[in-house]
Amino acid sequence: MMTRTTRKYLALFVLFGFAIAVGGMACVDTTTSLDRDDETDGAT
Amino acid sequence: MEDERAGPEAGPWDDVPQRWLFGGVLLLTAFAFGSTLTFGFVYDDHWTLLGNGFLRDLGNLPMLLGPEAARAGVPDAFRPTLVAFDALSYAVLGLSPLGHHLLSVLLHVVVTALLGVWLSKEGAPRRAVVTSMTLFGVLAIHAEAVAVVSYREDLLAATLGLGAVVVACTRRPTWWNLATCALLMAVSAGAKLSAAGLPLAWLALQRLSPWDTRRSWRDVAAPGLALALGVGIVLAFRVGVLGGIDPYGASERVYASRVGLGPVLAASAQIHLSYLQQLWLPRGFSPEYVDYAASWLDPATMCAVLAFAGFAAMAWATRERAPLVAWVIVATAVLAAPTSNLAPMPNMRADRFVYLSSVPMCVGMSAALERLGEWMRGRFDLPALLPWVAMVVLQGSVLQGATAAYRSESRLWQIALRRAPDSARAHAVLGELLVARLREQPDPSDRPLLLVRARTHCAMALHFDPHAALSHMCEARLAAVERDWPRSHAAFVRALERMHTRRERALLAIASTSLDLPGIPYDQRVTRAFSALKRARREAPFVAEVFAVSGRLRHRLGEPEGAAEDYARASDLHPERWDVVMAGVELQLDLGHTAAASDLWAEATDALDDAPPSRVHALQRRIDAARRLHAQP
Repeated sequence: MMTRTTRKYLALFVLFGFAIAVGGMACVDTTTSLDRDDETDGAT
Repeated sequence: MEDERAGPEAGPWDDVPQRWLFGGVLLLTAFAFGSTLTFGFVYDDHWTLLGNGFLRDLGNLPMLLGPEAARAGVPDAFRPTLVAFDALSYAVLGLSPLGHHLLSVLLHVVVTALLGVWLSKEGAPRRAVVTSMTLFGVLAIHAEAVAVVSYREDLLAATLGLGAVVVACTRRPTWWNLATCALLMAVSAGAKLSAAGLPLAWLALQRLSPWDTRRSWRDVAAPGLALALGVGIVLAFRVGVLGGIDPYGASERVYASRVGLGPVLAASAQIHLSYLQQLWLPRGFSPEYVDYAASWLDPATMCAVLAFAGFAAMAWATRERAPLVAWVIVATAVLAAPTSNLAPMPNMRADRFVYLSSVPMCVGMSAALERLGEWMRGRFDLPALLPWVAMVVLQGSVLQGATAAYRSESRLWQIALRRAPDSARAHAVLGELLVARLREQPDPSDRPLLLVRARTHCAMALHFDPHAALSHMCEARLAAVERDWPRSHAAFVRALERMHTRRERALLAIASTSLDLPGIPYDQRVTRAFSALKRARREAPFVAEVFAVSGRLRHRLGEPEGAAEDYARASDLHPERWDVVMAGVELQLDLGHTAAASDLWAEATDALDDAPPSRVHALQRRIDAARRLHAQP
């Protein structure tokens, strides 16, 4: 059986995952414009 | 995995079972790099993995133990462990980008786990083990090393090297332990020599003993010697078999050979201070950094030198009072030494160089964040883990943005150009990518825009670095697409003069353009072309492109037997190349050998999956027409 501490520990890492996923979206803003460049190059 | 004792003070996770303790960190590490599984092959993957025919036959591997592989221009032949690993991974995974990226992520997860095992064996408290592992697992500066398949050399060296130091931690080691330790260290340094600092980092940890588990010299001597023996074997191999420790020599890509070692080392001091900033404040990562020289009197150099002198003094001053601080400084220094530009390197700076030296830094960062957390708890009654939590989220988030740069080749070089706008290499590669797109451009009305962009990048490359071979290659390929053969040929010759490695790139192009040079008798043009081809075959016998181009030229010049042999060899070296398969089929059709063409076509179904459907259908129609013609009475 998982103890309360173990559950809290694993919950912390799940929260890390969510926080990194959300934070990651803020950090990949430059790639949005690059996607547009890629599409433009593909279309020309 | 044995359960370790808790530290002297009760930690927050003391009753969490070891498997969950490690499982949580390792799952987060894998998750943080999950996006790389959709990435393609980029950067050096093209010549070290995709175009490297040496990897296609495991029977070639014994050549790595002698000088033959290096003489045959096999990429990274001076790293036999890496090449053997690449050959085995190709045998299992083929050229599946998903498979190779998954392998890189798994290697990084294993390195993170080994860090935890090492720290546990050294008696580190659980909290320090978990916080150090988590920081290492999601550290943003690791984006390049994990996201680019061919840079798994760093991951492989770290995996094997940390495996060696874990074995070296065994109490009362047996001969078997010592032999395993030496072997793991040898194959680690054989993957990349950056692992050569690990024995010293391990020894420093034993002597400084930050967690009060100091071992006597007698206990440390045997494993220490085994680790040193492992590194010694690789150094002896390089000197005895390959002729020297330095594999790059006078390569045109080594900046120190242009400006001298002093200015490069001055710049290197600045670079290492920037690495330190990037570890603590994760920003400014780039797939490309421009090599540069600096003066020792530059304020930036003096600041860096003063900072490192300060760290050295701090290590000495804290060796008794705070041995962990001293170990972090010493271990980071010895692990950073192999990539610190003391030895000639083709790139002065790269994010991946910090992979192994970030191991002690993560231990130091976690200790510093713990101390900060304790202070914050006492002062503001905030959770002690808060600084560590914030740093993990910050590093992991920035990591997502940093890895996105390596999704595709064109994105990588566009980002490289944004980060390093004066990089001749980035301009030259982007120019060549645009030229390649021009060749495939079906609509002539769109050519002018692409042509102007390609011209601009090639001109910028020549402006920023007229000595670089790549700048002239860009100019040459641009001239070729403009059908200006004399200009193209001359630029390829200039590129060849500046190349010290992978010269077949220019030689093949010289062979092709020689045939179209005006004002030279036909037989002389053919002689020139074959002379360049012969040299390319001699210098790069494992490069499929050499035989593909040779086959195409011999096909064109009416040497069908030779062309068929070359196409077959190119297919052996790179079975996934659909263009070579199609060229072989076309050759048989040209010769009127419909049955042979049909056989080749039937055998090549898998390779044709990636071919443009229009080309496949056109060739299929040609085969059908030949069959009908053949069937007529």
